[in-house]
Amino acid sequence: MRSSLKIEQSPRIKEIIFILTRMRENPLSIVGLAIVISFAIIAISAHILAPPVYGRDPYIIPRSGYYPEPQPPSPEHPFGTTQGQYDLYYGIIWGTRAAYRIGVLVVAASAVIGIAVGSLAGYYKGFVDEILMRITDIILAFPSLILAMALVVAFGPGLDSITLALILVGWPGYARLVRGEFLRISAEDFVEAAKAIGSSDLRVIIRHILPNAIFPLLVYASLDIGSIILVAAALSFLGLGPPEGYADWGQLISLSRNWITGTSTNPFAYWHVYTIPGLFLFLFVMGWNLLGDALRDALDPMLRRR
Amino acid sequence: MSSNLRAYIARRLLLLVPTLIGMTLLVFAITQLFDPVERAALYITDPRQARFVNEIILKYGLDQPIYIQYFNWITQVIQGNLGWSQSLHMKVLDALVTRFPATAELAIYSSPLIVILGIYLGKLSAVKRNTAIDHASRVMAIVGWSLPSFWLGIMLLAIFYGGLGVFPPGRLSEWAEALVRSGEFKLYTGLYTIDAIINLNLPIFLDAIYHLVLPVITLTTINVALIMRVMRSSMLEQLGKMYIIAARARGLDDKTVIDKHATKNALIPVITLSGLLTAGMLSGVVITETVFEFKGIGYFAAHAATQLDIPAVLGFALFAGILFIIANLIVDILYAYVDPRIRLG
Repeated sequence: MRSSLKIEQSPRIKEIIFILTRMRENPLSIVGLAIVISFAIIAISAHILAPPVYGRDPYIIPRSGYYPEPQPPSPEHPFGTTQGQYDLYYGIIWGTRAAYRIGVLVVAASAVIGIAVGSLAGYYKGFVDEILMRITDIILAFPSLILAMALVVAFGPGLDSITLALILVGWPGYARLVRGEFLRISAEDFVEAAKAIGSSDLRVIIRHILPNAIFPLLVYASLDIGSIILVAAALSFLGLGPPEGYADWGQLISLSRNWITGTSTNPFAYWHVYTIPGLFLFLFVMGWNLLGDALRDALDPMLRRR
Repeated sequence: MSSNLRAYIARRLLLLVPTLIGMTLLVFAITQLFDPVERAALYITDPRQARFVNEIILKYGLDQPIYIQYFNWITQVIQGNLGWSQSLHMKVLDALVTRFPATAELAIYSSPLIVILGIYLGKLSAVKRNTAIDHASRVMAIVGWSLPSFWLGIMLLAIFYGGLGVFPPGRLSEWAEALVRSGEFKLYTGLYTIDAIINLNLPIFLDAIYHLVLPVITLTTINVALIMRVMRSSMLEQLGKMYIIAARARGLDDKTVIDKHATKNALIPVITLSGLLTAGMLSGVVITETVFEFKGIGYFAAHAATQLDIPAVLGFALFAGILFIIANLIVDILYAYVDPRIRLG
């Protein structure tokens, strides 16, 4: 009797509710989600938290003078200044937005390319599959940071080059994953049924197979954002990123390299220049990794419903 | 070695050929982003040749159709000519060969630590599932996974070198460097710790170890999580299997069941990680060597990259790719050796 009163739930909604319940049981996932949301709030309200000078590129950190020695935190500069007097607080706030921008852009573009390639390979199999997968093999045959580094050198240093390089290096992972899901799902009866009633290939791929492959893709993407931000920051740290003064965590950390020895009286006189930007980068990556890990546990058929 | 295994290895070696060709094609494609004058550096072996750019362009057909260019280029690469590195003023291959021992030294000390620590912690975590130990090591794994290696390196340097005045950057202290260069000290392998043992020179050995501590800690912390996570889940899977229950039912004690039965089987998936670990180490040394001014191939590549030294960066990428492929090949063969289902399947 009760069931007739209840609104009929689609299986997908049920799945989401089930995942959320599972994730709520895992304290680490709450921490991860909290970190990711906090950073999202910082990124969205960067205009309010660190108002840019009107008419200037907001990603360029304002500097007070050209004095080389970093200054400790003060009321005027809550996190202090870096080498060359760039305001660390401003750099971190806008760096959050820059990190989100590059992470989301790279993941979205890699996922789109990966879905297109992976679904073609997994749906049509045979020759198409063979060719496309050999291409992914070649890209995956290089350690990704090193291939990305070579590409950035080829495109010329800068944030756009890093973004493009990370997309070119990142899509094969998605393609592999999507192909695997397609091979598995194509064998199911409902796909055969859809084809039997005359659905076009495109319709079968988009309406029937892809929705069933979306959750593993989500897990992969959430774990990917963390590593993308790490590689992007590493490239920028090596000196292949945007020009000096751009709000970018990797660059802020590289600006601290000359100041690790401190002064003769206080060895940790410049603690803020290396501790603060690194801590933010670390927390951001950890938030995404915790979230991805929890999502994976919640979706793993071997672990769930135990 | 059974004939099955031999056939498997032969098949695997054959599959290597298209991958290698593909890799060189990709690197060649990257070179095409540069104009012929810039590309000329890929072919010269001496900076004096740089004056005759037009001759190089003609000689290697840099204005010819692309397949002719690829053929000319790959012929050079096979002969070991990766071009001239302007940032180091030497041939790229020579630079890689002379700097490789430093990187090998880092890898030789960190890899065993990573593997042993990863397996031990993963096993411990699985056996003590959902206890404080398990939670602590899982949190540690996530932290290691998320730590930016360059930041960890800088923090370690700031605390130990900046704060306490110990573990300086570099490969050797100045006095040791002078001694090594003097000719009194014979270099056999280029790995200072090993050479010091052969030369029976304790001070050099200790100095080399002293400089290795922080980079090895950095590489280990970053990479240990990978092994640990897989070992934990693999161990959990084995512990849930029927043969474990059967072994326990026969009255075997916990130690025997865990060490003799479960661990052996749980180690199989960990073997596959060695390939990934190699990639992690190759990427890791680029950053770690840069932070600690440890002059190996990673340091060389990073510096070359900032100076847009194209032949050096591409040569390093090719070198890293080939190393990664070889590691994967060894992993596959090992895997087939321990798991007959692979070679028979």
